[in-house]
Amino acid sequence: MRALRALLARLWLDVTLWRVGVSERMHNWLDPLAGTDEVRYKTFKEIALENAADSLGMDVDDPYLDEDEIPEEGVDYDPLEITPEIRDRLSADREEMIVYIERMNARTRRRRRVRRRRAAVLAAAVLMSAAAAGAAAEILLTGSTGVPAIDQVLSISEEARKPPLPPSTPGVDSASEPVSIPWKSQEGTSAVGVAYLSGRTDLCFSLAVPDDISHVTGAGAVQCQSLAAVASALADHRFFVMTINFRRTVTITGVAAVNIATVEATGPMGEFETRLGPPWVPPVDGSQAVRPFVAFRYVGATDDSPSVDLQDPRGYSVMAKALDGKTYQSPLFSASP
Amino acid sequence: MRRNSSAAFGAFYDRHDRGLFSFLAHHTVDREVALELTAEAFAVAYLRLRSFGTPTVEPRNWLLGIGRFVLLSSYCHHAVEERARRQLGMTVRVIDPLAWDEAEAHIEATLPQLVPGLDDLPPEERLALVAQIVDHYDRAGSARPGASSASIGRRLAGGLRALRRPRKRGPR
Repeated sequence: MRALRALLARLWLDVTLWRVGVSERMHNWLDPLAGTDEVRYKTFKEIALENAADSLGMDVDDPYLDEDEIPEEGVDYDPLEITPEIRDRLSADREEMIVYIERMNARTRRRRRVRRRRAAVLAAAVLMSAAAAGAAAEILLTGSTGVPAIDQVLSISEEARKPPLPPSTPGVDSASEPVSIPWKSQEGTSAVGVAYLSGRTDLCFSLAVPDDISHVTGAGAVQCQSLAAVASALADHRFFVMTINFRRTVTITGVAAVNIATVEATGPMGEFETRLGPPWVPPVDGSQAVRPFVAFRYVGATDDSPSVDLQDPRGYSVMAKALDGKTYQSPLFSASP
Repeated sequence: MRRNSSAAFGAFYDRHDRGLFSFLAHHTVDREVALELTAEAFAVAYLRLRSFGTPTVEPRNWLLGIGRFVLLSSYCHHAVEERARRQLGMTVRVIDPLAWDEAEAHIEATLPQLVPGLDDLPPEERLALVAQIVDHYDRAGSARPGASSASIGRRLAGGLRALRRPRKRGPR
């Protein structure tokens, strides 16, 4: 059975190859039954080309004339006398050609304008898409306060608080442009505080020391209040305290109204140094301008936290002085409901 | 000469129309035919200028080359070439058939002047070869817009090399 199958396969192959060969020879106008050495007749064009191709000199860069083919006036042809009639005909042809060239140019310009218009519409659509993408990216970017140390704090804060997140947890999805308040701590370490908008409803404040976050701030340094509560507190007290951190450097952060000139803070260890930031308006309709502030005092404890008696908020007070000389005092965290 | 400047092309026309007309009239004898061929040659020149930009060769030689192409093409098609003028939308005058026959005979008589190397060829072979030349000119001219003359020349040379290769198909 196997031998029969092999025989049939070989037979099929031979027939197929024979048919292909015949087909090829017929395609080439050759007698399929004649020998392979049959003399093939040349085509008419091949004969003509063999006789004259070498003398044509057509392998030139320009398709029109070789150097030796350029006719010379007076040698290869005689200059004709141009009669007025011929002059008129040539001029008429010229004028007609110019008219049609202008017409063709106008058509081309119209088409080009249409193409440009279409391209402009397309480009506008692309730009709008890009703008939309950019806006989306902006939303994402608003997750950054613009201050790496603060971003790091927020990230730590979120990681520390998950799950669940309390309502006032600072979001990283819609923070506003940060307002920085750099200051020099008594240990010689620079820190930065940032007020930002979170979720378009909360005003948050974060404080961070680059490369040494746990020393001054940490998760507790991020505090948010609703814009409504902030507005209410500012209307009542012209400022309010948002965070207080008890570390080797005790820090008090908050926001004040724009008419506040100075902020003073005192605690059991004495007066604090304060930094009042420039006015900043949260980018939400109806928001009023605020001035973030930071008050700090180096405690000098050997460990990370000051003594227990220093951690009682009731021992601290913060006072603000307005431009008109009026003084405002508020209990800590007075804006809290 | 700028590509689409009609004023520049008008100046070009003024400078070379008499020379081109004399050249074409020398090969056709008939002035009407020569005038038509002159108009066609300028139309071809404008279209090629529009497509390929300023020629790399001297303008007069370039224009005379186009004139030769128009002559050869008309000779192959047995009628005054008019494609370029129709493409531009220009009017094409009707040539008296007898005048054309006479002009065609003169073109045939002066073919060796137009294409060196045709002297020794029999008439039918001349026609075949001229047809090939015209065909290659046409193909070279229909190259994509913006193609350089060098690339067109390479294309033309490639076509001629292909002609030189022995062909399998043919009469037995």
